[in-house]
Amino acid sequence: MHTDDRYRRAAAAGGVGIWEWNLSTGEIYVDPVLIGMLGYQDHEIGNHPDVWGLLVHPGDQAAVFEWAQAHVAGETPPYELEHRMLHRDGSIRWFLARASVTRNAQGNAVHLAGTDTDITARKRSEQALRQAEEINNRIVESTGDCVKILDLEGRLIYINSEGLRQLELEDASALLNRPLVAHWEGETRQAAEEAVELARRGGAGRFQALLRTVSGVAKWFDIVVTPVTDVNGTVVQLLAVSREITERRREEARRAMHHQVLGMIATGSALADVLDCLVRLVEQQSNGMRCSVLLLDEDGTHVRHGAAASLPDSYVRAIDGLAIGPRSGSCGTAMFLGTRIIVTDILSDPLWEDYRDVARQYGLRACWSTPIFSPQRRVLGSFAMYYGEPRSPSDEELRLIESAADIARIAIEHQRAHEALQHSEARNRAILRAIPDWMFLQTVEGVFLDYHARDASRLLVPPSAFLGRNVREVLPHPIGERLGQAFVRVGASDEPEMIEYTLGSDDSERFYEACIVRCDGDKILSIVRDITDHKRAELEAAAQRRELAHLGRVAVLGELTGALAHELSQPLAAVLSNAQAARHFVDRHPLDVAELRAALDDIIKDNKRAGAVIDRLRALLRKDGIALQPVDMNDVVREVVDLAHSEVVSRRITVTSALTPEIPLVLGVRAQLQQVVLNLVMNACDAMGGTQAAKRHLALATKKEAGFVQLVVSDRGVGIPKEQLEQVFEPFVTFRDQGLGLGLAISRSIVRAHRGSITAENNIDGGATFRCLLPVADAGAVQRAV
Amino acid sequence: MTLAIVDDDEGVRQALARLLHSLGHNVHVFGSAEEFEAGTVAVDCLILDVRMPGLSGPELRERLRSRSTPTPVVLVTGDTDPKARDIQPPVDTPLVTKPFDEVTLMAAIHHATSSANALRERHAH
Repeated sequence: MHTDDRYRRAAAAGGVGIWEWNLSTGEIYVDPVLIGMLGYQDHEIGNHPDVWGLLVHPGDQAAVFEWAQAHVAGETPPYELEHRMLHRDGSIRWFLARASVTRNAQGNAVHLAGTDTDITARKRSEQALRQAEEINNRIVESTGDCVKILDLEGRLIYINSEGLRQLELEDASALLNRPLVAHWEGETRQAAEEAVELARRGGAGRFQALLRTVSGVAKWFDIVVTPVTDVNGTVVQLLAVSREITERRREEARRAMHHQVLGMIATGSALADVLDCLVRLVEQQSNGMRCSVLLLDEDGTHVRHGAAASLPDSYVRAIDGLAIGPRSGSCGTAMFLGTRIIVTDILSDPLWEDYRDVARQYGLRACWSTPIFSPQRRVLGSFAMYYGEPRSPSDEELRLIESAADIARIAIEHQRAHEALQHSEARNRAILRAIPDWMFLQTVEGVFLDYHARDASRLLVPPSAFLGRNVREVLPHPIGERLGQAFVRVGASDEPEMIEYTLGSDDSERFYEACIVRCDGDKILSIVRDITDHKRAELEAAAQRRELAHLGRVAVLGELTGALAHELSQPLAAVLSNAQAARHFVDRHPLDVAELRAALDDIIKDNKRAGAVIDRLRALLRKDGIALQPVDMNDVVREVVDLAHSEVVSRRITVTSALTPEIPLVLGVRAQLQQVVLNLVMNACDAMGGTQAAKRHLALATKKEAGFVQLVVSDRGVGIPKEQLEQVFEPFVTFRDQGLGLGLAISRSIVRAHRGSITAENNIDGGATFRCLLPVADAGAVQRAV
Repeated sequence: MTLAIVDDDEGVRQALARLLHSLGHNVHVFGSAEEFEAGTVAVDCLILDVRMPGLSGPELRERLRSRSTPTPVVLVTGDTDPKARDIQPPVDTPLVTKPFDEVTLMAAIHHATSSANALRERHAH
């Protein structure tokens, strides 16, 4: 026994087994303690030469042997080795082996002795710890959050891969040892410092902050800082976990922006304030962004300043009042074209050519502008975002600009609607002050409740005499009753009614027109207008029209003078010839009585013929009143054809009449209707002045049409110039060389007075056709007129 | 004399025929220039209405003048101012305005026939 017994006992008590390897004999001694630690009895192992094969884990045997040999060879200093051993029950135990070599005087190793300490328990806990660490690592590396570990000074000592990804960094070198709070300034930095301080003192700090990635994308983070403590509870490190909340922040910001701006709109803030607030809120959503709202002037061509919280005043003034156009910067072009305009670099974009210097002066490089549309797609203005560096918008920025434009639209529309309402109220008040109409509010029963009159002194009855009284008492009998009944009808049906009535007598007679409508549910509003002047003017106009019609007829007859003279000269010539012949007969013997009678008969006949011509003339020249009588249009056409016979013949015009037999009668003024036909015939004759003689053809026709008699006058003349088709019936419009151009105008006014219509059209094969529709007289009217 | 009347107005035609007949002339009546041309009557003088549907009096006169032996013509018209109606009264043709006296008419007929005779004699030389 080379080993001290006491030492061995002590070792056994501490879970340490001893072994000894005699290098000269190759024997290995393993002490029973160690053997017992592996579940064997001492005698079961003894000095068994294969003791390693029994006790050392096969996987570690080579390592243990090499370790021992290396030590013996002096290659390694005495040291330790952890290795596994096999328990009798099949379980594995971990041991820490320590060994040292004993050498003889020649320096040769003779003994290797060592201890084996059972470290299984420690090993297991270490392993469990490793596993837990592994799991933690995996959690940290696979989380969607950015995990950072800071030292107590708040400097970064670790960042997980997700954190690097979020910041678009290849590795952590740029961040390591840099204080976390150094990312921010101002309020955010203060909040970050507070959070770090709180964690350092063992609490948990939290703040939200904006970080810009390498490529410049702004991201919002929610950052929680907690302490990492050692076993003693001492804070040794800080853990900062950041979660990206960009989307949530934007959503919140947008919602807050909507909320705040719409709130301002709703509470009636001035448009300038609303837009200013909007611009500021949008600017807050991105660093370095400057926004502006421009309004399109009512003239639709000039821009007006709307809001530009962060743009220099002088720039704003330079823009105000510029005209929009296809190359008017971003906003002017957006408004002109009605489309979003993205200018990524003002200094190179042709749209900014005229404004480049101004922009450069104020350091504006990118400008994106979107038009603000009304729901009717009218351009109201534009919303623009500026940046100080060349830049194109992200999807998020495009969404933001559209969203802002939409709020601006609401604000502008609200303002315009408000102004329109104010204007219309003011206008209504002005109208009410200005209108000469009287207004009376009555009950359905006819009791006056209220009135409006610009000049109450002009009312026929003073207000004190009608308010509270019934219309039937206030106005004379038939009129008061008529109005009272109308109130009842309007009250029941809600259909407005117009009633005309006269008050006063003879010289003081005045005409009124009352528009009666229901209002306030069960009240009656009468709007009464004095139409006396209008009525008188109307009567005068009718008289003038008649006078004009008469003059027209005289004028037409003037044109016909030659023809009429001819028409009279014929029977007169015949009469004279017959009379002279008769005188010869009388002188002759024997007297031929039959011959004489024939001559005298012809004299009578021709005399009557001359009388008829004069009658027709007289009828045309008569200054008619407006007495209506049933008229056969066929007769009218025949009379006119007779009257115009000579004229037509002298102009080499063939006339054909296609008159529908038994045409219904029309109710009218005969002379006036004759005049219409005569005018149309003369007009047709004039139109054919240049037509080849063989083709001068005038066709007249009467036709029956549902409820109307149609008169058609068709010629082969020059037709009506296309541009004059519409105005041919206007007074003083003529395409003939002679005449005042009144004939067709008078014809139309006559036809209209007969509740008829007259139209002109060009024939496909030359010439023009005039069609005149006159309503058929109803049987009752014919009866009454006859 | 044998005379022809061309007038579209029946009353005038009949009355004139009656008058000339009562003065002892032989009279033919025609309602239009075309009707006259269709007939082959030799007359000493033709009384022609100026304004007629179809061929007018002056037109018929022109046609007759182009013949080798032109018939003497008297034009009659109901128009007050024939110039205004584009009818140039030929210098050598008398124009009588309706209503006319028998003396006026007969003077015109004689004037027409005698100047025609004079023309014929000049041709004979």
